[in-house]
Amino acid sequence: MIDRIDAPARRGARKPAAIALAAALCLPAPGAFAQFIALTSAETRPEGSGKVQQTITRRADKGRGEYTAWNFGTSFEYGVANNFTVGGGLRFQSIETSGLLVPGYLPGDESYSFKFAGFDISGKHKFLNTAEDFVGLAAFWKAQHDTLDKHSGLGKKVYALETGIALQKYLMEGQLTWRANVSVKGIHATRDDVANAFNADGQVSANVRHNGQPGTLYFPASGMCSEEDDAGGFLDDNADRACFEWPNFAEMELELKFATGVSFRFMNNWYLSLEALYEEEYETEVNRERYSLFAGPGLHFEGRAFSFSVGYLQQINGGGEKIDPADDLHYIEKTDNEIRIKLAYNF
Amino acid sequence: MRRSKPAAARIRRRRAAVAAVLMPAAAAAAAFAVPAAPRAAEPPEAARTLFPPASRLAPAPLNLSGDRIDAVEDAAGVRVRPRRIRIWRAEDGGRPAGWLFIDQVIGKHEFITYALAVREDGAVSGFRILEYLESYGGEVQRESWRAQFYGKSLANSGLVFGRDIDNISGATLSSRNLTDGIRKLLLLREALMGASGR
Repeated sequence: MIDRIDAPARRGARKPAAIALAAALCLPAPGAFAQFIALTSAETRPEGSGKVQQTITRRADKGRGEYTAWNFGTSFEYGVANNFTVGGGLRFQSIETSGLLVPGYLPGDESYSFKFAGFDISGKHKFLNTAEDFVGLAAFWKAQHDTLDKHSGLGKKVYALETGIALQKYLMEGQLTWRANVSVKGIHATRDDVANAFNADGQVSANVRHNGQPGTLYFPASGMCSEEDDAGGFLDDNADRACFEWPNFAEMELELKFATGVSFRFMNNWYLSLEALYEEEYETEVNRERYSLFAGPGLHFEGRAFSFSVGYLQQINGGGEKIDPADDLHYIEKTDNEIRIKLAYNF
Repeated sequence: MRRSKPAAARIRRRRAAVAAVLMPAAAAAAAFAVPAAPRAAEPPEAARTLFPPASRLAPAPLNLSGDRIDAVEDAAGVRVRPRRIRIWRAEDGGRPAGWLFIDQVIGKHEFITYALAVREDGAVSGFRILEYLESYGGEVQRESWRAQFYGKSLANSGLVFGRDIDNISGATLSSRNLTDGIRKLLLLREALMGASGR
């Protein structure tokens, strides 16, 4: 070696699983090079090298009402050793939503420009080298804490731990790169109370700015309704009042993610990628609560110090819990599409 | 609660997404027309010095049939890009003294330009990086790494990346492709010798 050589079910609708997509799509795991939008690399950073990255993600369209959210991630990576990279990041969020009311998920309109949303720390260890072995293999971990619900924009305390593996293979001498990620994420989440958003009669208050469904919504003291109507809404114990749920006890969920994609270098420093991300989430009472498949292209520039990416992800299939049973996509915790921009500086 | 947007609108959005994939791909295909390396009669000085000053270097054509190039690619496991390869035949005192190649291989983000000198017996006598523009992995330019190739030939088969040639962190793809590139040039030289009957 030389120098640095290395080598609805009913209860399901009550489980908002709010942060599921958030961190995974907002910040890459350490060592991700800018040839993909969402996929994590099986490579680690060279020892002593670092990267600062800014990620901006726009999530829009829940098939009804108005919904646009922006997620901002500022992350840092450092190569502790040639086969071990650590990272950390801060997340911020802005949201603009109206005309949406989903019991257990979206209690009404919300609008703010910029709020702190959480932070994470992460690590990645490389086991097989992409250039040297048949396929590159790395394991990654991420611990995160969030203070905001990604979907409603309201307060939520989330603690999550994710672990997964990244595979990578160079084809055409590295002009074409294939990647795949498999990961599992355990989530412990508790939503902030919104009871003060309702008046004594349970009517939605001005704070919630509920536009789409005027009238009285019964808000039970326990946060939980008893009956479900045919349209996927909820009724109180006597089945005579429309009921709005907002459980605020701790929830535990398990998220599985499978992703794959290719990136093609079409000229020096420039790449085109195509990625697909499948996610599903399980929780105790309803088993599979949601699933979704996103896919889309990305354009990437990787220079000597700076890298830049822009990409689009379209939800092409989704299900599980739904806002409306007629929906053919999952809109509760996902949106119709996402646009992402990444800018990074390597040193 | 309002219903979902009409399916037609969703189909339009998906068609737009497909177009977003195909249009850049078409642009990429057009952009990948590789410009030919300049065909100077004399090699750059950094490559020229791989041979003694008294030696004479004469440009040599890469006049191999498609079948022979295919055979080299099969044996090397990498592509031969004739437009990126320049060859000189070295003579010293009127006698053949070896071969000089200038070639480009894919690095992490840029092409790497390198020069390779090969003796008449087919062994590597010199290897120099002429242009390296990557963010990391400049160690491939160090003599300590390049010296691993000296004396290597197809006959002594010492050009297996990771076994005979060390990997370099931060330049894993570059060091692999340089190793494969050198093996490719040795195979190319062998094919040229066979084609000329020498």
